[in-house]
Amino acid sequence: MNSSKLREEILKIQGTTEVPGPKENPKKSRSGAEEILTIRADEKTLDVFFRKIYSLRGHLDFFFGMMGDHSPTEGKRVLYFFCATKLSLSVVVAVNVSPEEDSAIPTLSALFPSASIFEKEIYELFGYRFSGKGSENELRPKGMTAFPLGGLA
Amino acid sequence: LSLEMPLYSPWFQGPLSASLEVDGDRVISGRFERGYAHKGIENLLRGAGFATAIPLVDRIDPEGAPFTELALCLAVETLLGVTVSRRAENIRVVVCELTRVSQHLKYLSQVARAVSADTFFHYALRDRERVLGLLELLTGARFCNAYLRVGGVYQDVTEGFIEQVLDLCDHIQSRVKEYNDLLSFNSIFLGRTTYVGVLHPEMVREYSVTGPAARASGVFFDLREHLAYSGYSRFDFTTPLGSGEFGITGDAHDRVLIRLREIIESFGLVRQALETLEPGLFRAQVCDDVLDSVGRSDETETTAQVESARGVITCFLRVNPERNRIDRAQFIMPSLPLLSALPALVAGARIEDLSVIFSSMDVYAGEVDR
Repeated sequence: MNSSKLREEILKIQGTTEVPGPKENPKKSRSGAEEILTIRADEKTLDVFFRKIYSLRGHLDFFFGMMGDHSPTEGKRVLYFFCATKLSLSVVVAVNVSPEEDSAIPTLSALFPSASIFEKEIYELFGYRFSGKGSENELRPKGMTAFPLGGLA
Repeated sequence: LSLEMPLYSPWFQGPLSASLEVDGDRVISGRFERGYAHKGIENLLRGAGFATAIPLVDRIDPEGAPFTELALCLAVETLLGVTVSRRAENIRVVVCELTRVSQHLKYLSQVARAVSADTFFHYALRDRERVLGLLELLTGARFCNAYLRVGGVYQDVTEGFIEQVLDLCDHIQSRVKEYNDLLSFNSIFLGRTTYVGVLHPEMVREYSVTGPAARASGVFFDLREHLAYSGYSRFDFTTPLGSGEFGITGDAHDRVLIRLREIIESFGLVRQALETLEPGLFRAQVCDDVLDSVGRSDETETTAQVESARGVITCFLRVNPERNRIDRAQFIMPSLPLLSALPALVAGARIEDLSVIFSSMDVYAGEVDR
């Protein structure tokens, strides 16, 4: 499988769209040879998306971690960083967080246990809930209910 | 029995606490608590200018400062379309590889201390002093160098620096033999580190472990080869992989051996980078480049990744619409996945092996919390 084939496979997954880069400046990092594919995934079909991503792990072989973000233009979202090392393709998956209070983002920790530690951090700093994760304080002081980065844009 | 480990334990670098469930001298499970070293660096970076951000990101990991600086600089350079000269790239490689050697020697000394190999502890720190002296000569500081700049480096290589570095490159070859006699193949050291803290190759991917810890488990993963950032593709080097020569692949001894081999490779890279140093600018004229890029790109977000001494640093950067300040910069540091893998490593281990497991995994609390 080459890099463009893997791109097609990822974009075939239901609920994903590519975030296009500017035409004059294709999304290619100056730092090296790698290409960066940024995609938006739908929170509702994220479970299916994760399973598909996991099935592609022979090619998309590394999950680096996650970040919470609150962008002035894109709103509240969670970013997942994957990499296809042999194809020099970085895949950044952006998932917009639903504004409904009781909603929860499907957890990735069943497929990648390392996601657990990132999900905990994102919950405590931003207040984005992940399914199956407790709400006890690990990073925040005991009794604190506010989210330090929750209101920042 | 529940065992609470103190917050400032000599086994960890920085404040991390652990609660262990033990049965006799066996650990049943371990829970690690972090969050005591939150410096809020990512929050301080909001609204910072690109030059102001350099000393701030240094504080994430003061000893490995050039790596975080490089991740940030690469991200900014990608966004603004700044081209870095070959000379500056080579100088960056020299600084990064010297820092890698310094961190690996510190790592070796900390594992030696964990197994009470005091002679080696002093030997490793003695050679590390020479490396730190060279970094001080070039950058003016031993840690928190604040040396890299967007578009290049702060200052050109100083007079005498190249000769001194090449001298150290020759010197280290004889030292490695000494290290091997004292530590790597010493039967007491082998007894304490083989079959201990085994990180299986499948665990590397599950826990997103990168860097020397992943390579010690036989997983070929080195961004210097995969992404070839900062001109690494111009240099000839090999990535050593662990094979369980004395125990099982991915044990603490493999993690030590890999670091020793990487020190030799790093000096090879330093030598090549200095020998192929071309005349040219050591820093791009960033102002012109920025003005040039404003017209042709409206991208405000990017990511950059570098291979640090502990593993992969991922930097996510968003700049403001005027593209002259940081709106948000976040880092995924390699210590966080290493920490997430620790509970799996300590389960079933003996209490006397914990010091070897913790020191050989090399989790730094400052990186975890940022």
